[in-house]
Amino acid sequence: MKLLRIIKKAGRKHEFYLFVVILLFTAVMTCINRQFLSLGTLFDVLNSSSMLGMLAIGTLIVMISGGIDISFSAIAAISMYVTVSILNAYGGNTLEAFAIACLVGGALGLINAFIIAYFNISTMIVTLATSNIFYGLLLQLVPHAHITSIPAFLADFGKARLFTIGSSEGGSVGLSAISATMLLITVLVALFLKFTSAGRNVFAIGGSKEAARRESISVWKTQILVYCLAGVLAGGASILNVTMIRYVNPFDVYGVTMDVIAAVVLGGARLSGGSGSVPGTILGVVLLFLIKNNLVLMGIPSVWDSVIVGTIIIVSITLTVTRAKKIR
Amino acid sequence: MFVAVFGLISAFIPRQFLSLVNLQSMAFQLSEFGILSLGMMVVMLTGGIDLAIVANANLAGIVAASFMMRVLGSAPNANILAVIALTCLVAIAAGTLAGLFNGVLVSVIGIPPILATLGSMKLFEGFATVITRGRPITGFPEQIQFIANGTVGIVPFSILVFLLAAFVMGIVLRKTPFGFTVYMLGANPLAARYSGVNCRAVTIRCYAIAGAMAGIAAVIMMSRFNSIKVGYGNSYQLQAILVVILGGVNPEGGDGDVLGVLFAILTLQCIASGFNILGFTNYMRNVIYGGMLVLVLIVVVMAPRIKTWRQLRASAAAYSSDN
Repeated sequence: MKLLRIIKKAGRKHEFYLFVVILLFTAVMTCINRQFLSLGTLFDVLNSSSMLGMLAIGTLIVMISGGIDISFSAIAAISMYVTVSILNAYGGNTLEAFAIACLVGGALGLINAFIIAYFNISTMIVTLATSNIFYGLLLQLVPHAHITSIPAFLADFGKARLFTIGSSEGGSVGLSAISATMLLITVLVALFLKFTSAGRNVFAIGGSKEAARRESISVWKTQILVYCLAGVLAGGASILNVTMIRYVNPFDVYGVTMDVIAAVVLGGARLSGGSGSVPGTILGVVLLFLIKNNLVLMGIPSVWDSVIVGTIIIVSITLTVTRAKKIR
Repeated sequence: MFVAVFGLISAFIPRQFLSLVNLQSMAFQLSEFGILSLGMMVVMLTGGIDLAIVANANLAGIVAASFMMRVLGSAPNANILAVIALTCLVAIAAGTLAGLFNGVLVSVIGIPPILATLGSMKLFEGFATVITRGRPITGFPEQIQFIANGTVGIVPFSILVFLLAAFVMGIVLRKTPFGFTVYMLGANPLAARYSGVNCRAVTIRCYAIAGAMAGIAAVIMMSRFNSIKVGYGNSYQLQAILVVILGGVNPEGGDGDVLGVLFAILTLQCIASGFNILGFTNYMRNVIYGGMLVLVLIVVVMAPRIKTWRQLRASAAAYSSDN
């Protein structure tokens, strides 16, 4: 009886469905390819989806506050380029790399934050504009914004494993420093959103700005915090990407905008604000990543990529919206 | 504003800017992006936004182009003008259908417009890629180039199409019951519903109109480049939103008209061709458009606030002088 109740309770949670879908997908993939089900795959997925995960968490915070941020990928592209240029010129260490990137990201986020909070205008249009401004400026100032040589310590960080369990052809299997960083940030943000008053304020202004204001919550301070945090996370995520691919390519990073937003929406966040969870978002990222990267294994040509992502966005929001209607 | 910008640019670079060739080329460039902006405007009047409009135009163009190539391939002796007319219809039908899809997502299912059209943008792009495999479709009959590159006298044909579309749109929005309900819906959806407006139907129709506009723009686009490919016209996305807001349409819906947007389109086209003459890169142009968008939005939002603030101060002053 108790078990039944637990299942019933879980059934009301979005995360539960996501988890079931991921399990189903894994089962299907294992039927197609026996080698799919292994710890190696698990750690691989965690490692490769780290950047998406970190960007998604930044986007999640913005969405909980009732806004949307399209400029995070432009911010990531810039902080990545600036950081690696500085490190190449002056040297440094991994910690400094993250610090610089987060600073740059935070500063750019502050620009968004200022425009949105001070003038109180549509977040979508503001970030669409700033996204074009940031990315346009980057490409205008440095037309070939690739950097092929990155500092050795960043590459080492990308290869580092916290612990290893056996090894396979691709190298040692284990939790990478990259995914550990991502998981650490995830836990910190989850705790921040749940247990600090600033974190609860984010939910409050997402639920209803007017109600939040009457609770004497400072809406504009919270908005500044939200967009800065999104910028900082974008900066950090860009360094994860650099350490992983050992190469600076702003074009790649700029292209992930829609995927990240899709993952966050898949994770159950609502655009109207006030709802969304960190575990859901991470599950959303993992599911999207699994589907996107295994299309070829399933025999679907890669030209179908966008169709699949679009369908996932539409279907998952449709489900969230209809479920929300039912509860009401 | 249009006059100011036009005057400013012609004062700075008069020789190149005021030449007939430049004015004509401006008129040429303006039409497809103008038509897309008209579509965007209708949707924004209801308080929504159509991020998929350019992807829609692209898909419509690709569907129509592959239809035309197939027809010409199977019946080489067919009347080319009839085939072209049919192709235009196919493009508009495909665009409208895709717009209808957006409308259903937004109104029947109730997905926020940003997310719905973001998703359908990805979807349309995807279908366009699947159909073409990423390759351009080329080799259209010569006659189709008339739509975008032909002139009637000295006036380009495409600008006539655009003006006609703007005229029809203006009449529909201002003089028909449907247009009235669009403004009502945008100003206050709840009030509109309680006054007996079928909000779902109106929203669906608005997105379908935007889709139809995308279809028309698609025809002009494919005839201009004499080819069509995934990703054509992507730069129009930001421009269309910019122009609609520049034209005085309230992004929250319910306010704005065709005339304002028309002048905004002319203004932006002047700026764009000014940039061309000055030799700005595409990146720089995006930077400037983005900056303009933010600035205009700030002005649009702040103007009424400053007005009420002044009124408050005036009434306060009157009150204190009374005592």
